[in-house]
Amino acid sequence: MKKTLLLIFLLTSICSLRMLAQDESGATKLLVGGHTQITAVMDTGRANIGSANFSAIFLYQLSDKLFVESEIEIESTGDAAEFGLEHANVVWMVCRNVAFHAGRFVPHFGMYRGRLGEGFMNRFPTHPVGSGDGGIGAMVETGFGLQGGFAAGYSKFNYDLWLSDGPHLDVSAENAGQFDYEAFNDNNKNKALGGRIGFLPFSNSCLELGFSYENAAKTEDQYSLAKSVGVRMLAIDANFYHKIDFLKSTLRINGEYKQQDVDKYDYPVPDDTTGATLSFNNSSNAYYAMASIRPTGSENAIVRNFELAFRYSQYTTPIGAPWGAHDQIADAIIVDPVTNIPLSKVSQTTIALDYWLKWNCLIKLAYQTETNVSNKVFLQLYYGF
Amino acid sequence: MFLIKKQFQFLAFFILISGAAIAQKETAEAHKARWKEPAGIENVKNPFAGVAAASDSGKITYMKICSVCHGTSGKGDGVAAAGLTIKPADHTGSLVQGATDGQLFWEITNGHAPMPTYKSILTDKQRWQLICFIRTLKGKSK
Amino acid sequence: MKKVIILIAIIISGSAMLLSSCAPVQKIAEKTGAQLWGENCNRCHSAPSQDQYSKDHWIIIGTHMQLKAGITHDEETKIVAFLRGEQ
Repeated sequence: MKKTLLLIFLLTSICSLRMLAQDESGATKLLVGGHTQITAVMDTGRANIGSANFSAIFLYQLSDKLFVESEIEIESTGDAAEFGLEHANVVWMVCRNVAFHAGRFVPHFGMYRGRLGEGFMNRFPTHPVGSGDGGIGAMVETGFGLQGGFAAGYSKFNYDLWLSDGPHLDVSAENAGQFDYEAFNDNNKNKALGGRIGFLPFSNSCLELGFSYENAAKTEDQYSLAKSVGVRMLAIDANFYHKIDFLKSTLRINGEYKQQDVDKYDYPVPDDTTGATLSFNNSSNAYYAMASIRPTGSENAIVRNFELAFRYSQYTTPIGAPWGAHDQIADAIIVDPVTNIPLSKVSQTTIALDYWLKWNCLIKLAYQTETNVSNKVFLQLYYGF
Repeated sequence: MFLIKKQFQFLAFFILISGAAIAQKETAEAHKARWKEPAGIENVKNPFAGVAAASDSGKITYMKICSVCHGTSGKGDGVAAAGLTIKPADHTGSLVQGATDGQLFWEITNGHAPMPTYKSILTDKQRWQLICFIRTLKGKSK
Repeated sequence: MKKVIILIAIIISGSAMLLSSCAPVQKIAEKTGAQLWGENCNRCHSAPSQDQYSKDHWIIIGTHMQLKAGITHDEETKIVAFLRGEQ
């Protein structure tokens, strides 16, 4: 296993270095981009301008073949500001259709995270249930992989295939059967293997369909009893946009379905002397669908900057698990008010009216309802640069 | 950091207004810079004026490049129009049709944001041919 | 696991070779940078205009978006040339 990995790594490195040696441009180019946002939340009980963040993205073009990208984020959470490394990734352009990447990267698992859910691509100030923090799958992973795109006839394909440290299983009482997807150090020798293939069937690139899969055969510490618990995740995504001439508008529709299946395991019950264990069918799934319309063809300079968006999402967590969907605002598990047991199915509906100040800057005004969470009004100013 | 409802609403209102003001200011500035071509340029004649084939060649270029923002019928409703701070010009209307060939040539050559410069992308001949085609769009607004 | 990785390594090297012979039809290959800019940027966000970044920065953004959105290398080259005002 180790040898195979080393071999693949060496081969790719040699190929890349050869390419590097051929490159004569040599001039390093740097772009510091980033994004910043401030979000205000209001419900019947309170009005809170509670969340603000700033991220700096460093993009280095070291040569025609060598590219480095990194993102650092400063975020307000609870009572303090948090500083974190989002990702740091080195990319070698091996040839026209193949790029090798190594580091802490945003995996192309589905199209929402890392792309449609990012800043000014997201028409809403919130994430769908199951796709934000605490949802299915990793935001970032550490490892290496190959990616690229190629044209075939009228269509196009793109792909990303990676090998990463993979998720860590949590066996603690509160979180039994959940994962830490983004740990900095691996807990075993096993690697997760994942990938996505994207297909753009039409010549004007208006539709992209994607299929992603990730498999980690072992997710716990190699000395743990749960060391053989594996996880399989899949995602299906679609993104479509079209200019409707008679409405003088641009329509966007996109959605994603994600599923996660975890091997069965008897989790220990804390403070128990009878040998009781907790076991449940550990399968989760989540999906969202959104549509938005913007009168881009309007003659009125103000009207053409408005966009109306609607989104529905649902997150199903395992019945009998000690955890469930997360309320992103209150930072708490959504529970049944009577029994206090985590809900295994949560849905969310969001309607937003956006105003575009620039192509990369917008104001989002949204109304959101979510199962067993108070209805909320959001106002967000988002600027990507 | 809790605020009472009134203060919150005031702040939200303030953000919205200032944002809209920023957007409006950019639009106004872009308009001010419009048609600032050097004197005398309006008298430059189109060497292809009246050549029927020129407008056909112009149409090919138009559909491959200009239509992305200005739309296939020249109304300024192309697929990429959305992200631009000002709406692309309506080639069927009086602003463009009222300009001389020389002025249009200068505009296509040098551009002004968000209109790109086509000095290197298109040859002189292609730009003159484009103007021949743009003239055929006159009055096709309906 | 071992087998899977070896198999994937073979598939990748095989398909990489195949890919280099994969070609778009002529109509697609003749698309201009302007067309590709309008079509591809708008897949996820409004297409930014030429004046938003410097010529050097467009090169960096081209690579970044090629990786982020899975744009092909040929498309990226044409889009960047258009945004730099070059042929």
